[in-house]
Amino acid sequence: MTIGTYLSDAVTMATSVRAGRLLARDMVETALARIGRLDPLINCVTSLLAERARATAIRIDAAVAKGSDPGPLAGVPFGVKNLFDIAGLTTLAGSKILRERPPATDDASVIKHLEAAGAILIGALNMDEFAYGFSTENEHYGVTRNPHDLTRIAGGSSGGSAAAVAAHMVPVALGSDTNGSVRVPAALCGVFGMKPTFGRLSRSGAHAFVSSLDHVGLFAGSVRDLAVTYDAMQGADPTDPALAERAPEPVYPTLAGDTNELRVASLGGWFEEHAGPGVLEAVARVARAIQTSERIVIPRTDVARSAAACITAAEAAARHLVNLRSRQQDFDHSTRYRLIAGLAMPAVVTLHAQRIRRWYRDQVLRLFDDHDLFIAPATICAAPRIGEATVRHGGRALPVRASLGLYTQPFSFIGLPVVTVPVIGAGLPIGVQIIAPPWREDLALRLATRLERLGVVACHPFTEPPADVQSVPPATLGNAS
Amino acid sequence: MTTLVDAELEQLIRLVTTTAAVDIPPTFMPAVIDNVRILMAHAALVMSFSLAEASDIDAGSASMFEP
Repeated sequence: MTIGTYLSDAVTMATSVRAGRLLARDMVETALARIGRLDPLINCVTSLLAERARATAIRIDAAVAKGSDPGPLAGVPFGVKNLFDIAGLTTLAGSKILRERPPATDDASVIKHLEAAGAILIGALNMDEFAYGFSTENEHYGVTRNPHDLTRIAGGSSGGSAAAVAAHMVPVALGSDTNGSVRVPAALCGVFGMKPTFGRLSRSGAHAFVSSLDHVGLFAGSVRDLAVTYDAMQGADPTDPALAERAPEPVYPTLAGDTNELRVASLGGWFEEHAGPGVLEAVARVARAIQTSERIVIPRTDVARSAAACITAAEAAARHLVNLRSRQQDFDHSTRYRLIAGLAMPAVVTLHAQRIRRWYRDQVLRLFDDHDLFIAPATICAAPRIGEATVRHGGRALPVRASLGLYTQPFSFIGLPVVTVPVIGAGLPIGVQIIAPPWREDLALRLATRLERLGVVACHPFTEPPADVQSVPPATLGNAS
Repeated sequence: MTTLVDAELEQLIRLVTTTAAVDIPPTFMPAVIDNVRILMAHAALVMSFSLAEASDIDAGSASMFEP
């Protein structure tokens, strides 16, 4: 195992650091060198925290030398979407407008949790402006390119986080998911992604997009890394009123649990419409591997998805009202028009959408009486090209950016925990969602572990670009809608 | 359902945004209209769905899945 390969395996890296076989400072230098080489091609890092990372690494190495255990993520470099507060750094949330704000005075709660477990924050990562998008084609900070095809998008809004993990710059990264912003880029970049139950992880210190829908989420290169990182992120936080009063429920010890008794169904109806053939084949492959042929339909998912869109538009417009009055020109153009349009959303629609939210949630929860998990595609297609406006399926043209969240929005709308798994196959990565009942992240991760062991899902293999490729031409940004 | 032409929709948008003290430059208006049409299609679908009885509003909270 070369030192670089540790960057795709957090648990092995941490085990070696804790045992004194590997130095945390070497891991930091390896990650920094890799970012320095690959980021000019991919553009996923917006701020590098080299000195902070080196200082943390020295502390961890010193602790190990004294016989202390720095924690289950000892020496593991990680990056965060740049909407998380990092002490000493201005929180951008992908925007130009927030550049003028003073630096954050403290780290976001989940960063503190990860560093308490020995992980090392190494950088802030690119995203769609204010998390309002699915493509990470950011006018201010550039497009984040898909590591598996530099002409294609990484997905969004946590595109920088997914790309950084896919290119093995860091083994794990944090993102946020309001309508699919972890699950979409995880699928398009071929990595594991997770959006826990609403209220499970603290959002304190994370710049809000739509408070009633925002979740903190994470990316990793394996189910094991996802589970260990997620476990480290759990914990009480009195500063986040949306955090549920639940004791941490570690999932890592449960990964090897029996899955034969799990009742799993594929979702049909809405979750088959619009999907390209490769996407449907990926779901079918997962279903065959776990020998389930059951297929169910959740009625009126079209309404649920539209209700999520209406709530998003109204809340986001209200949040940005002050800057819409005085600084419209400073928004990314696609964000600007969406936010202004949100001002026109009637209150009665938003309130009705919230009622539909409860109705839809209750309906889906009833389906869990007879099932433990559902599987569904994560996106309608593999990664579109940068600037591509439409995707054609069966002779029908669909707007790319508006359609990338079709399959993810219904579940964040009702706060369910979801793990996105990258299905092994030829061509570009494709992801499948595993949807669990509230607070049962363990079930989704257990099934993901089984699929990993069956050889059905795995982090998409990353092909190193030739050493002489130093940069790629600037991409033309599409008019995202 | 009545379909408004762009000029009519612009008047409605201006009524709302002016109320919110947001002024939209004329050059931005075509893209705003496009986005409002997309949103109103979602809104129309939402409002076409009748719930049998009015339920409580759930604005999202830690108690979303608690009794």
